[in-house]
Amino acid sequence: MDRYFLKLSWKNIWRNRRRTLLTINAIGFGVMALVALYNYYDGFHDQVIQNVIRYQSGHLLVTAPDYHKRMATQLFMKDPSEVDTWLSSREEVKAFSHRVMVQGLVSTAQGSANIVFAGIEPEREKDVTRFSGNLIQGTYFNDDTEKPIVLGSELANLLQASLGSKVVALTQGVDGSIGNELFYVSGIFETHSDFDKNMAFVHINDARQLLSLGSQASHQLAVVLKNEEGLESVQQSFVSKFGSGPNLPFQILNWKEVQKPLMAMIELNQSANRLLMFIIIFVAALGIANSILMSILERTREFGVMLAIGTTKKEVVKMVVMETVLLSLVGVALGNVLGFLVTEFFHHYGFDLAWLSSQKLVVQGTIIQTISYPEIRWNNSLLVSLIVLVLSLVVSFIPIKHVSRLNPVNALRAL
Amino acid sequence: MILSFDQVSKQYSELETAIRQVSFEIEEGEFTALAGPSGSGKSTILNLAAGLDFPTSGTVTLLGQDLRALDKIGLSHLRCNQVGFVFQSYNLFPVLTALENVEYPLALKGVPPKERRKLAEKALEEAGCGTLGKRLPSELSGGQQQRVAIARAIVTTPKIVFADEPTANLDSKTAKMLLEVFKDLNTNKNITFLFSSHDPLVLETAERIIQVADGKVHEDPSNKQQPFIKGLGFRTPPQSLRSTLSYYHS
Repeated sequence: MDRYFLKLSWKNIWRNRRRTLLTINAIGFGVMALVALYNYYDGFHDQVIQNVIRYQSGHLLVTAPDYHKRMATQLFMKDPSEVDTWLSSREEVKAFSHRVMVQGLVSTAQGSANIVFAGIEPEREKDVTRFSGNLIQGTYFNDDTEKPIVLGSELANLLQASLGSKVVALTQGVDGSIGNELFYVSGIFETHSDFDKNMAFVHINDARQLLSLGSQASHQLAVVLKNEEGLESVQQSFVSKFGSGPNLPFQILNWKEVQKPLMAMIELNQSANRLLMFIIIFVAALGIANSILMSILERTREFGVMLAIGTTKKEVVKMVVMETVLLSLVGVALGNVLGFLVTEFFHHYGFDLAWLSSQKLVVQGTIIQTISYPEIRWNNSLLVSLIVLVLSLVVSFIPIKHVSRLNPVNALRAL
Repeated sequence: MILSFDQVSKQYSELETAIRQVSFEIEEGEFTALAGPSGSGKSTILNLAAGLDFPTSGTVTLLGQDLRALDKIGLSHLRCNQVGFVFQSYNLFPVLTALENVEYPLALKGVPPKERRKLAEKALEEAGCGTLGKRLPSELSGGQQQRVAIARAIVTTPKIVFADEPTANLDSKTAKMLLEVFKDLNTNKNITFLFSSHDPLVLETAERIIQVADGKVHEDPSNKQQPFIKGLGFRTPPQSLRSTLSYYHS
């Protein structure tokens, strides 16, 4: 079989132009939809992950053992300064910041709420998370306000607090004492997420004081890397340096370990997408099989002639397979080109799924933007294309079975 | 001897026997016609002779090989390399040009493209349609299509060509011209021809006629005719065949 048969197969698939075009369009549309959808979802998942990394955990989170599971204020790192020194020496590390997390009551004369006070190092935190960019009023710990506190917008509304308002924080210290402190509102932030109603930022030293913690203590040390590819090596080096175990002072977790529910949601989403992919591709493949089968049934007599003049059944089957592959390839090529164009379009203009639901999409307390800017991912195109080709070959067993059963004498008599 | 049937029978069912106890031999270079009305068993004999079908009993030997002893691939190779086919309704591949149609058997044999093209052009010339190479079958008349089909049949220089009612769809003038092509190839290239036909023109041209009726062959040794001599036209059939021919003419 040489180029002659490739040419013959190519000409054969265009015998019934309308049917072939319909089949190619069906494959092309399916491939386009899948490629574009996969690119969209990948972009969307990346956005969710980046949101969670840049608003919460960072790439890596150093805590006292079990802190992440129990979130108990008593589980703090007494003196993580040696971790600071080690992190400063690592090239992969872009920034890191300590946090003291306090659960307590915040109140004004007009109201009160149970919230989380995040005690942060304002300058360092700016490089780790994006909260500083979400300020809608006031300043981010850089005015002369004594005991500043930055409230979420909904919380400020609840407490009827504005810039300069006094708020009282009340909590139980790690030594069992009741800690309370008077803060002054220096800023109000808005993230359009649950953080807006249940979170307030204070200076880390004020939080330490509130909890009666030592001057170096912290609950979390969030680390952001220059490049996510360095994640495993930094984590492994940390474990080699500081060990791992319940009795050691530190534990390091990567964002995937911290955000297990999020990862589970993404995996579930990806599984649903894979199922959708198989359904769409299977339908497209059946279209190919139907098109090839129709074309073969119309050519029964021609196959009889082929067999009579010395073509083996194997060669006839090869030709049918070649026709199937060519038809699929044209459809796949068309689908990929369209998928590329659709992805490029939405890469520039964004694709918003908000019209599908009136509810806000909240993941791990973070509201996820429904608008996504998908990017071309060649692995998606390759995966979808390969599966279309393989499934097309699998379903082509129907026409192949018909051809392999042909009796040349009967085939020659066919109309 | 190029083809022999030895006590060959073909039974499709208990009620339907296509041919019974048929025996005959064809020598190399013969120009033979199987004559008989529709349903007499002519096509069955051609199918059996080409190994497209198998006898219920008896032996068919083609080019010294018992066809039963060959497997399907062996039969395909034999047909591809040594046998040519011409069909009643031409059966060209409609998506291929005349030249590409003629190239088909050579492509099957794995002949390189350049040589394939040269041989196909030569075969088209020999079949009298050298100028039609680029046309699609749909752009050709019935006679032109049959010439292309002849070119396809002879392009591999087969030992024998089986032609099943090759002139049935053609007018007498075209049929006569085609028979001249067949005869030329028979004379000049020593290709053996076995026709099945009830066209009087074919029967007049044939050197030898094997009568098939009700699945049996009847051959009068006296109906071996004088060879066809190009330019002298068709010779008068022997006395023994005149009644048959007049039946078809009527």
